[in-house]
Amino acid sequence: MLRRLIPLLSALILLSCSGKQAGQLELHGPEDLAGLRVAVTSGSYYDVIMTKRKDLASLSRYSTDIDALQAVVYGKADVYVNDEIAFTNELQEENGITIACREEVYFPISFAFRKDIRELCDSCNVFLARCMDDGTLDSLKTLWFKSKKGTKLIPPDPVFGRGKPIRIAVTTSLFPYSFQVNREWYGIEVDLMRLFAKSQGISLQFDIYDLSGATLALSKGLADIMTGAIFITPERMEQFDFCIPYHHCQPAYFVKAAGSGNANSLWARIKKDIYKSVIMEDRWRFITKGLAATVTITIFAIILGSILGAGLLTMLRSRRRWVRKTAEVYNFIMAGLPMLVFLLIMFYVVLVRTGLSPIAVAILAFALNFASGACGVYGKALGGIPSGQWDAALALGLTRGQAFWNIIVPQALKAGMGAFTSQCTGLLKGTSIVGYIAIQDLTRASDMIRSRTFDALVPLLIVSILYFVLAWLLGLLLKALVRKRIAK
Amino acid sequence: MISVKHLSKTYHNTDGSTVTVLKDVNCEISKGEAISVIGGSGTGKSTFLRCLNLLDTPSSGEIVFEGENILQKGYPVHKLRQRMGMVFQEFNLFEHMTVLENIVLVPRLVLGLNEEEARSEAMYLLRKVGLAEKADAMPSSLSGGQKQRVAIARALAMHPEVILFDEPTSALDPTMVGEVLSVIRDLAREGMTLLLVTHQLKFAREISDRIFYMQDGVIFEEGTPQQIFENPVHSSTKAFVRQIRRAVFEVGSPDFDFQGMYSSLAQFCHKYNVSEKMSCVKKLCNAMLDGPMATHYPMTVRLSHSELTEESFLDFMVEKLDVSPLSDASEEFMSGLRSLTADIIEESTSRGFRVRLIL
Repeated sequence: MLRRLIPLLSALILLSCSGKQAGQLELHGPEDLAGLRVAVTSGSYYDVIMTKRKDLASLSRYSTDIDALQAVVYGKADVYVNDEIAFTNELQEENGITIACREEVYFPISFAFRKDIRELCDSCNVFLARCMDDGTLDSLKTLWFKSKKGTKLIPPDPVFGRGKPIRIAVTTSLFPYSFQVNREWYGIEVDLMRLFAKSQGISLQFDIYDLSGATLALSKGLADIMTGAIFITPERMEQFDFCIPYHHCQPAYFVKAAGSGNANSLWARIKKDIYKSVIMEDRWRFITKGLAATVTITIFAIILGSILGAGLLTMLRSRRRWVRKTAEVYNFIMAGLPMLVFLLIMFYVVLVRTGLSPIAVAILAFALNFASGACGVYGKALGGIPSGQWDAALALGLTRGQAFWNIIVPQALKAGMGAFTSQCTGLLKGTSIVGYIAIQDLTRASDMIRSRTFDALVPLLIVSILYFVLAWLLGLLLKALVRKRIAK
Repeated sequence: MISVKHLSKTYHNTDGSTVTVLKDVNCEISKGEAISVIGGSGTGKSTFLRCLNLLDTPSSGEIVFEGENILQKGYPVHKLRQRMGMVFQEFNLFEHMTVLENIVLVPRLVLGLNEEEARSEAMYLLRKVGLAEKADAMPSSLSGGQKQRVAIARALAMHPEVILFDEPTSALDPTMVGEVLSVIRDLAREGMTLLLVTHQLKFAREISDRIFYMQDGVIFEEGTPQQIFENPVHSSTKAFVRQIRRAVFEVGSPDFDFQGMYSSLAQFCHKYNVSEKMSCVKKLCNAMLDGPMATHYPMTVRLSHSELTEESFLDFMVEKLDVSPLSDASEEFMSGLRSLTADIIEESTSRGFRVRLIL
């Protein structure tokens, strides 16, 4: 096991060291971006602006701010365009980036509300206006925008409220807007939302989406308010209601700082990164939580999918033509549809009104997909059993059921085990996409850690090792189960 | 014990075509009888056996076992099969179990024996077939003959009233046939009721009380081994029990593909180990076809060879002819013919006239 992991580890470490050193770019305004490789956060307002420019060398869109920033750190892009306050001075220093210039414009940022809850938006306006009057907003801004990262995290008062909670779609898990430490949410937007909820006597629920996912969630009624330094733009005003802006943001060009590069030895760096990614702020809790979600989805989807697969095979062998055809069409669709697309369809379209939790939706979607694969495995395994085995079992006086369970199944299990295990491992790996429907699984856990530490290597490494271990354990478990069944 | 009336079996292929394997099978089998079912390939012997324990469902007809019609609706088929064992050509041992487990599984499940009883019974049967040593071996480590003996022990463990043997030695190396046959011989001697589909005619003759000769989906002829092997009523039964092989050519005109015929005859002689007779066959054909037969097209040329007696003969048959084609032949020609043959038989048949040259 370990021997198999070593090449992977070395490859990842080598890759992470390949950042080149270069002089710092001189930028003075938007016109200087011509001919440069620009990174933006996908779906952000900067994305819209930069897409209109035809003079860039390239424009790369990253799904999170962290990924975009790291593109600059690792030299994959020259400039990252984002809000001036998106990264604190300390973070910039630590990652060897700096602000090359600020544009002389100010964009209003605010919270977006689902269209059909106008009253909630109105009461939020009243609430924000009061915050501006009584200085609450200013003191929050001082606290979050001027302070250093990671200091003064006072656990917020819990918000108790009656009735259905307001569901907040957090589009960017990032200091100082909203971020998670120890499963608790912090940040200026979190504080504002809490105060607002308190004033309304309702409770809150935070879910993480990317920008496009949150847009969809809002329009489908899966979330109520979208946060994450949302710019008020005319296009968005057609889709959502905005409350009054709580802040005005200045665009800034983040570039690699001159002479940046790590003076520390590789080992010291890795040690520090491990400390940051795992121990600091109890970040391992992200991983354990993610692990629990991944394991839950995998196990239940395998169990449910195995049963559904058997049903599907029965349908395929039915005497009725239409039953057979239905099963064939089902298999055809499952074979051709990418799992992510299917998952999104299930979450945003098919099951949108059922109120099922995202984990339940994921289990169902993966089980439905797994059923198709399992059905194929069963079919192959059963088909490989010579008909003479049936003849012999029946001729001895067993009923069809007895013959199936005592003679055919044990042999089919043995024959189909390899294929079944790889189906299961495939499902385990496939679950890494559930972050798209606001589940914090193992992969999303690494994103969450990354968004706090700005280090990609350690969390990804930990998570990939965990996936390896899970797949290995899953294989062992299945082997043990089969041995028990055959020995009986 | 078993009474079969008007049994037929038609298979429906997926493309809509049908094949009738059994047309009209009738027979009575009494307790303690050993019956061998013989006949050429594809005559329905195995299907007949598989219909008896309903592994194949008959298309029509009646099978009465111990006074009960087993084809009636809702008849407990698995109960029937517990009383009617079967041994297959391909052994069909359960490959995932040891020899012992193969034998004890069903008695434990169905007869409700406890582990100890089933085990000691199985060991007794394994000793009987000479394989007690292999009790814990996996089937894949056994030879074909050993596998088949285990399969017989497995069938016996259910204490069946009848055992059906479906070509039990056909998948075996010739060296292993003997060990399996001796087990079956013992069973027949002990008075077990058995039906044996086989190509081992000598063995069938030795152990059977009665023989069924099957052809074209019916029991064409039945009788004691003596009747069937020594005085068969039908010529096709005779041809079969004498193991006569034939190559037949319908020669329509002098333009017939004689080259093709000679090469087929050469193949035939090679197949039945009589290649030395080929030059003689060719000379005789040339002489006859250029000589007295030249005016008698169309005709049938037939080479026959009995594997039992190792006799071969070449027939020239012409339909609707009542005088021998050799009657006009010169003395010189006839003496040449005699020098090449053991005997010449000229006889008129129901369909015409036949000249048989015995080689």
